[in-house]
Amino acid sequence: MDAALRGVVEATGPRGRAAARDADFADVFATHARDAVRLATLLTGDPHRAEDLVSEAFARVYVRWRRGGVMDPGAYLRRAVVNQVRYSARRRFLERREASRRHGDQRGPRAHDDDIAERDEVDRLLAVLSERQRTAIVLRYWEDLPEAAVAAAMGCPVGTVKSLVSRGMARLRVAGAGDVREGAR
Amino acid sequence: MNDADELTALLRRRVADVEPGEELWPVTARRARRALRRRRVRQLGGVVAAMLVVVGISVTGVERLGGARTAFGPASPVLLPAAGPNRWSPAFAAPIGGRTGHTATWTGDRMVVWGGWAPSDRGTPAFADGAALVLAQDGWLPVGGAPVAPRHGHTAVWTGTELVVWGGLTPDGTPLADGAAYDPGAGSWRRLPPAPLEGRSGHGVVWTGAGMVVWGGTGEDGAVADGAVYDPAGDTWRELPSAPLGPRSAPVAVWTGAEVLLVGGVADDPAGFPVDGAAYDPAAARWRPLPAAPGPGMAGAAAAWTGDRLLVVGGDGAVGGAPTTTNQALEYDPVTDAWDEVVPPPLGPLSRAPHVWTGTSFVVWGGGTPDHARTDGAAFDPVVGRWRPLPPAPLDGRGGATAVWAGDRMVVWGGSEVQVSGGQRADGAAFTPSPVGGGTADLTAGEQLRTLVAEVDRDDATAVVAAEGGEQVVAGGPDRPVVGVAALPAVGPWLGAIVVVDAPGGYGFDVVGGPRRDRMPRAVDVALPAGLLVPPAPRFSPDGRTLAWLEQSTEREVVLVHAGWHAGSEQLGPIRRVPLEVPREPAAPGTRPGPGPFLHLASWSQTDLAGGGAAIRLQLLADPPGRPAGAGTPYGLLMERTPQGTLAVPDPQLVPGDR
Repeated sequence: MDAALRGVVEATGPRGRAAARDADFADVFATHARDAVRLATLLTGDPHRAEDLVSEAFARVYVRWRRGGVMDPGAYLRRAVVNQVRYSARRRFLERREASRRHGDQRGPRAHDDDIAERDEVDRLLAVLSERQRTAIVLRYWEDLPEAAVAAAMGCPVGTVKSLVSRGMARLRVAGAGDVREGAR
Repeated sequence: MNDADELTALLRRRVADVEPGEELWPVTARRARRALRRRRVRQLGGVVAAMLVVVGISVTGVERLGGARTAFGPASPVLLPAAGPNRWSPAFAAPIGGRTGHTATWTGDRMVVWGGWAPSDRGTPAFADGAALVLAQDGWLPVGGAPVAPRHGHTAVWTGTELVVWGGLTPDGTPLADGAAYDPGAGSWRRLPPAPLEGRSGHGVVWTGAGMVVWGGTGEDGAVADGAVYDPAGDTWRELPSAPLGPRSAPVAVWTGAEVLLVGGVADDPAGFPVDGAAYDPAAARWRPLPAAPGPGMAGAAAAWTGDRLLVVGGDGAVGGAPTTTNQALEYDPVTDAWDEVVPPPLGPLSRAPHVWTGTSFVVWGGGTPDHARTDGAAFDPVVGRWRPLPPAPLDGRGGATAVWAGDRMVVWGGSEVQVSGGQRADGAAFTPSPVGGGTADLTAGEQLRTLVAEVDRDDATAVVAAEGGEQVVAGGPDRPVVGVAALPAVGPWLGAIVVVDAPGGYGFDVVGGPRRDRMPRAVDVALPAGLLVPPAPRFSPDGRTLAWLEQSTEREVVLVHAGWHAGSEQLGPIRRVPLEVPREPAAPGTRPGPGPFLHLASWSQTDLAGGGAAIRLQLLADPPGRPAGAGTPYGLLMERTPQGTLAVPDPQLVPGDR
């Protein structure tokens, strides 16, 4: 547990200090938090929601970890994040619906640097995928996981992962081609 | 998108600058401690024989009061007024025959009791009728005219507009495969189309919001392992794909909002009491296996989906081939896909116990073992992981009673004496849980108003729930009164919570939250002076960025606590004691002066200043003794927020008419 993180822990008062007794878990957090937040961001498209989901996933994993039931914290956490995202899908749907109402002229002027444009484009592409396709694609290509590990994280057979990835990629190609046609006009 | 490498590069660039916020660890540490407190491993106990019968499934819905119909004569008061927190109502009787094997379902304004039977030495009559206890009218209405045969051991769900009953047994034990739907408003029935299933009882059933899922149960030749979903919109059935579960009866069945969870139950010999389970996702028409639960079994257990976990309490099982009934409490977390034992109820072994989920707590009463009916009960708050015993109920012990959650009370009704043939009951009682520790907010009224945060802080376990949509926050603790209630401003989506805790040396409060898009929730601890009574009415400014808490500690001094957010950064003001000049009301001749005036926060306004500061005006009101609230003298207090982002409170003398 690095000094900066411990300082944050100490600064949070009695509750934080109590948690700091489990310094090893703080190390687990320090090791995996960034990848977990990035994974959740890709699965949700929302880094703020991603932090909330990752926090909850860590808290749940912690209980198992304390009892010695987590041999591979990274893999266990990955699956927890995937499940947490999945179980928040209902709420996320409502928020997307709300966000969609804000699109359009009401958004006002927006910054248009290349990074933002590309980020929006990635988010838009991922949004064309079903939830499970998106999860499979992100785990397979962002995490560069073998199909068996993707299957373990998603709790499904390897064959299902292959199918999800294949269909997801096909859908992405169609969405990408649509962009090209739009750009040519 | 040309190839996988390009996709990988795109995805990595997308999140290359995404880093965990500095608040992520403190928030996670607090959540982790909370999660750990919920779980306290216990020893399994209980040695008795098994029994298994499925009670009716109650599904809460929303439905308007229907048209009046002929009642059972003059309505006699049965439940009203509400018994008050943590109290039982007097026992009441229904104008129908006592029964067991019936269903009781809450339909938004009434409890509909239907079906069941009353076996005795003189015969085994079953019922195809029932009655509806209408709370608003405090009386019963008949429920007759069902187009199906009398039955018991069936199930019932509320779809939001109809009560759907299905399956069950005839009095001679023949499994039934038909069902009907009852519209309480119109008082009418309709038959369901034939199901693609054989007749059965003891099946698991849930309402998913779009369909009634039926699975398992006991058919003519024993336990079955198939299921189907009934869609009332299309009035059609659809078979479920094959489940990764063996045949069984009496599985625990709940709807999580995304999946149907089916666990445990009773299998035909020699399988006994399986502890495995499966989850069915209706959207994907897909099953996934669940890990085996710990313990000897959970047939006839009391169970509920508590918002993020499946809670299972008690149930029948077997240890070394010997039947047993437990009082274990287990939770299944679909996120970690794992079971945990949690602190058991302060009750003995129990099965077939009436139970409800109130939205914030799980209440169980009665039940028992084959030769002993319990008369005690307890309420479990999953946020704090704590059980509280219920006060004594005005009911005898019984088996096969049902319970519904009626929005503010649990209504228990029916059942039969455990060892006495013909001892069916037609009485019931209502228990109103204490809001303390259980929460008082209606957080289930509509999708936009949902529980987003269920926080626990400090080891004395004060709980808080927060709502989305700027509606309501409630704080309270299991062993102390609610000490803080705040309304969040309706300025957009918030993650917000306020919890008032009983801290060493005084009270304190945490503020958690902020505009969701701005930041992660964070907590602030403020220690208030010992002996200060924390006021019940913290206020937010109209723009939702600042919070003030106000209390009069003496007749001549006011303590002001304030905190706020601005542009995503949290600011916390100091605790201030501000001198207060309040002229005493002159005492009437011959009388002593009354106590000091009650000072309260009357209004709040904020104006952004050029240069980045803000002026905040609090309108205080002093209500002299003996005069109506709000009729007192206004006071003013000016606070200034500096451009540096700190709140500075000058030391104004609060005098009548100031600003």
